[in-house]
Amino acid sequence: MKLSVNGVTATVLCSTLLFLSACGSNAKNDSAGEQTSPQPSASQVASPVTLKVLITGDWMNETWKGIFLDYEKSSGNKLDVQTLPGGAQFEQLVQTKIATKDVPDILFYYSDQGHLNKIMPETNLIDLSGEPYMSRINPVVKKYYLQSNGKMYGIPTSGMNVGGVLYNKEVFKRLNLAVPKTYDEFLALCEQLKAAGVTPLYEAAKDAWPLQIYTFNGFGEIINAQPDIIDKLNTHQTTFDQTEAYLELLQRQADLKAKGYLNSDLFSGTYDMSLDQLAAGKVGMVIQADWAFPVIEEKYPDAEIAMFPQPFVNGEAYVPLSDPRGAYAFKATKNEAAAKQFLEYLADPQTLSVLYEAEKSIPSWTGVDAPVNPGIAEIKAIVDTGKGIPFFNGLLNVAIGDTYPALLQDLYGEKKTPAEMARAMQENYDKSAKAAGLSGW
Amino acid sequence: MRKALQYPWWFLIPALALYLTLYVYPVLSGFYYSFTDWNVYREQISFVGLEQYRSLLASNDLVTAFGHTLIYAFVVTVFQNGLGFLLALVLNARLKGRNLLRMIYFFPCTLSALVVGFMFSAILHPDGMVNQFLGALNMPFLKQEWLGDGNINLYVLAFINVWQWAGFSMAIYLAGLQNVPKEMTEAARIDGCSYFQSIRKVIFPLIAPAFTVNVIMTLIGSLKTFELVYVITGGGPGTATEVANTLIFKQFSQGQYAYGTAVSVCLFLFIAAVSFPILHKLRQREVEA
Repeated sequence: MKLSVNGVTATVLCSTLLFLSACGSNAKNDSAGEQTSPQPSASQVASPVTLKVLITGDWMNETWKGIFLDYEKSSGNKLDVQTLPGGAQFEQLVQTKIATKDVPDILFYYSDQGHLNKIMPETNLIDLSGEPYMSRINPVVKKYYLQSNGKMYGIPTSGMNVGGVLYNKEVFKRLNLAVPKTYDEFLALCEQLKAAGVTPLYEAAKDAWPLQIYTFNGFGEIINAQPDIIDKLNTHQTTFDQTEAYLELLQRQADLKAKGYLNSDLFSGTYDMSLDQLAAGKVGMVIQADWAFPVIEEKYPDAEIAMFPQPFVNGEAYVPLSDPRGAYAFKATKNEAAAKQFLEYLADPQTLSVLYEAEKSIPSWTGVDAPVNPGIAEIKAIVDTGKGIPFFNGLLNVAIGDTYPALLQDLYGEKKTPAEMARAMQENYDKSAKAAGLSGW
Repeated sequence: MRKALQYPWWFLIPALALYLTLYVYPVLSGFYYSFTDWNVYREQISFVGLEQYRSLLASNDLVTAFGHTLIYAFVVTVFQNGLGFLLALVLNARLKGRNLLRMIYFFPCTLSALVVGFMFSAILHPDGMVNQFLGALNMPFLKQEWLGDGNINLYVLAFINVWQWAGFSMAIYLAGLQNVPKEMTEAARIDGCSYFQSIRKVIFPLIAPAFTVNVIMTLIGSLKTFELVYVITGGGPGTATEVANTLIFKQFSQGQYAYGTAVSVCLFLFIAAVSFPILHKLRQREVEA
């Protein structure tokens, strides 16, 4: 039989393809539920099990790897940690896995209502309301996050991020500028920066998500003035476009562009560039949150960047706190005792001090004594006096993060007025609320 | 006696089974799901009839996205075919280094859309190569925010698409040109035809099949555009460059699965409505020539 070159090539290609696809599927299946041999050190569990943990690569770092290793050493259980890509993909993958019943034992996920509702906690997650460590969780977190219908389903696994205005201390010192305490002072500050040839604010309109922080910062004032506004929005008793204070907030944001306080490459601006320009002193302020500090420390260690709270129009500024990341256990787990023990380990004060020493963020637990980033020392003092309010999107029962940034792009692009933008926002909100079957729609 | 190679009909079954389960069934299910209330919050899906289509028509999404898609497809089809044909004509002549040039022009379509996207995001940045070049030529008034200005970025995206795929059109036109018998062009030349007349009267009618293939492929491909738009502008700013597939992608990201499926059914009907008449017209033209 004459072997033709084509025939051989085709056979080789086919078998390579089959081999690779088999490899791909095996890699995912090989470690679920395996029994491992007992560790030589004293193990607290009678028969060691493997817990499947899902987390996104964006959140994995050396600190967490260390925490996972410590758990394995001290308990004898093994952790099969699967990292998923981050961002919108993470959400989609988690939702898909749950829909196809391919659930892990432990999931690291967001803790706000909008995200939690999409993974149906009452059906899927173990109720942790009665656990002893619940009393040590920061009251703001316990009040607003990690829960559904009054029952707690998760524990916080990160600090709370705080939103505000990043500023370049050297630029301020050079131009003799003071940190503003009222909104009028803030606008005057922008004028002074502009007159001195420094771009007052850098907004990253290409990435779009940073544009939300301005309204996240300012919405706290609305919640303070109308404490029931969130409940009303969640039950359709009022709408975004009927909330005068919100329209005024949007108008103030649009005015930043109208007054010429923003960067000239607004629609090509990215998050990375905003930090780059701030560190170089070409930009005076960036409206962001403290998750920027680790990046700044790593990339621009010589830059002196600090943060002040975005001033309220009337009264003292309250600082917006973002939802922490959470960890949840699934009802479908075959190792409920081990899963709960793992969560207890994550709640242990020793683990927490390791975590917060590395994170340097505002702790989501009470009684944690760890240093914070020097840039947010002033803001932490404000949070400690109780002047903290969650980012408002975390309080809504429906996630707005998919459509909100694009609407803000339209606001800056003058394609929509604040009223039109709020109307579009409400339409998207209504659509998602109806899909979720929330009462009131 | 005609000796035709005949296989038993049941040889068809494996391929047909794969085709039905992996292609036909999902497409038909798609049609079905667009009539349900399938979204991320539901465990049970129920039939809701035309509800999704009603809300789709009530909102502005469809008109905006499909309008942009149509403009994009039109610009891409016209310019990609025009440029491709031009390149094919030039590179069909006996030039030194002709093969190298063909390779260079074909090269961009082997790049992934992600690579092309990131490359052009840097080149078209307000402080990027293009604007700097215009400044160096002392024409700063021509500088634009190429990707940020909602009025022009759709056209800029279309031209990036043309840049990437013109070589592909060129390759198909080259194949068509090489099937044009030399005697025809020589005869035309002898009869006193100018170069441009010979292109219009002799060559162009003879490459009608290549023309049909190119136009239909470009049209349908650009109506289904996604990667380039998503990587470079994400459909933004706002909804300035929202095309049909980015709309569908965003709906699925929000968990509105049935709504997204309804949009894709509409896209299917839209593409069919646009391409079938054009295909029919072009095929007629082929027969005439």
